[in-house]
Amino acid sequence: MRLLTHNMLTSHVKGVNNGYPLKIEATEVNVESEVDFKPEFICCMIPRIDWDVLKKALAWIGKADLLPEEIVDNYEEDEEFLRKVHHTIMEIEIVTGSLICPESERSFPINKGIPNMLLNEDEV
Amino acid sequence: MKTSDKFLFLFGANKTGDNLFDFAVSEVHSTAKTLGIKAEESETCDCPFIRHPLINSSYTVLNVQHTDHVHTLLSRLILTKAAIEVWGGGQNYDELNRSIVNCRDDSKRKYFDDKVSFCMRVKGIGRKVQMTDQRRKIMLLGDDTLPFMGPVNLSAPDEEYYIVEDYMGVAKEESEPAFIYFGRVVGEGQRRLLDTYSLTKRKFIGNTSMDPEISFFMSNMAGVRSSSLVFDPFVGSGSILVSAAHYGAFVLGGDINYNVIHGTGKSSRHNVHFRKDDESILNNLRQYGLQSQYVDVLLSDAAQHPWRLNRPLFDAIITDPPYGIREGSRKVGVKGATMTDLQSLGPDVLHYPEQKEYLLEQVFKDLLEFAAATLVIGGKLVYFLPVNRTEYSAEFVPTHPALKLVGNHEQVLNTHSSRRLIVMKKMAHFDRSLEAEIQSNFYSESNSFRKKYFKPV
Repeated sequence: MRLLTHNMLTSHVKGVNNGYPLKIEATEVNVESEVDFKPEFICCMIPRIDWDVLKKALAWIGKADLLPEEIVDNYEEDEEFLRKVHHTIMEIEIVTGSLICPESERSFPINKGIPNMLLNEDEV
Repeated sequence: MKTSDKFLFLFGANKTGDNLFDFAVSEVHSTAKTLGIKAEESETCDCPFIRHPLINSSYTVLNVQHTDHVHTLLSRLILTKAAIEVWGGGQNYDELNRSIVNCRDDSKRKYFDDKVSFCMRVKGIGRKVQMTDQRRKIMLLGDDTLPFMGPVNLSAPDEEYYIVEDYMGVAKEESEPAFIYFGRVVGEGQRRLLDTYSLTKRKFIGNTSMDPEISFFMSNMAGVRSSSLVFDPFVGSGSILVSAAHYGAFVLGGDINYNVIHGTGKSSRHNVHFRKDDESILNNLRQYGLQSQYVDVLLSDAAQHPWRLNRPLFDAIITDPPYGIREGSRKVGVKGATMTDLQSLGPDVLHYPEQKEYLLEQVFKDLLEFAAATLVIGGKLVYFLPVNRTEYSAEFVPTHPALKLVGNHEQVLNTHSSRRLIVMKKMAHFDRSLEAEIQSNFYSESNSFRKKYFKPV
């Protein structure tokens, strides 16, 4: 699971008021460097990302220093910044681990990079 | 008279014999809009020989400002076979000759140069024109009309020309065409991709993998461009995502079925029992060099989705929801009255929840509400809606206050049933109080689409 996806997922357990963000507990993290860099795509994603949550996610997997504190102004022209964002959201993969609901502590497992977001019968 | 901005789009023949005129015309218009290109039907009679083609024919004539724009369109179109720059037209060969001469301007001079090789073919709309007839008809265009000086080259000419004869649906062999166009081929559409992306060569398929022709069409109707983020909530083997990725989109999928998400379980291929280890949506993308476009797939239930709703996420949602025919529609919940005592299983036991039937009515209601909440403004929802042909009327298409219906094309499945490709555009910000509306009795359990689909003729 990539951090771009994590940024957009929330806990949907019945009765939970705020299930976002899901905490990450990772036992296996894979870092690739072969995903093609597409600056146009990164520019489109920046307004849709919750920056603080992205930083939290990095901290949970021990990579807090990969991103600056704030989004830079005029990021469309800052290739170095865009590459950092690209690396963070597209090249870091949680292969095995869990996503934990902040309120109910319900754990959603991640196996082979695929999160299982299915609720049980009594949670819907 | 100026003809240089008129182009005839010739549509491909569909192997199942479906009439795809509607789809093909919409594809051109939708793609033009996505790419910011003006492509309009010739309304005025500034050129008297251009008239509207027969509905359900296999071509259309449009005004496009520049051949470059036509090339750009052709780089996306899957249902268009070729585009022709119109040089003239008439109700018979005399008129055609006169109109070509009248419209011959300086911009065409270079094509008559003696170093430019060429060939000419005759294309019959709704009729195949035999080779002997083709030769005879080509001779009907005088040397004064088309003073080509270059050599004829049938296999690899510099320029190709078509005489397009519209028989307006008349099948009788001896009849003459009702209208004839002449023009220069500008380029071809993307139909060669149908072979490249053929499901027979695809690494990983499922029972309901989408035909590439329709997948590409759906992506074009959804306005997919490079840098789009596209989600398919009923992703299956990812066949729709493959086409979106081909056009440069970044793709995400969700499905409730463990086997299909993980690429395990029984194979859908004839004579093959189980799926191989490397069958997966990612590997499908990798097969075409599109692995960089893969974001993620999730095990998820479209009825209880895990996406946050406080800001827009997707540029397009493109999907083929299960109609309960080849794949049952499912969602998490307890079947009948039995309740598994989950507490007794203990926290470490891996539990895959029971699934119950996901009624069609709820599928579409959930889908529209999901799209209204998660699409960016201007983003598109494209999905197939199954309908019973005798019962169908426009009111059956589900509606939502934040979404505008911008496309509705029928694809016939059998005598009773068809599916409609629905295209909706998000117009307004999501407000939780806005709800989807469906004509409720059509998709309810007692009136099931599945039962009617299998009804004997």
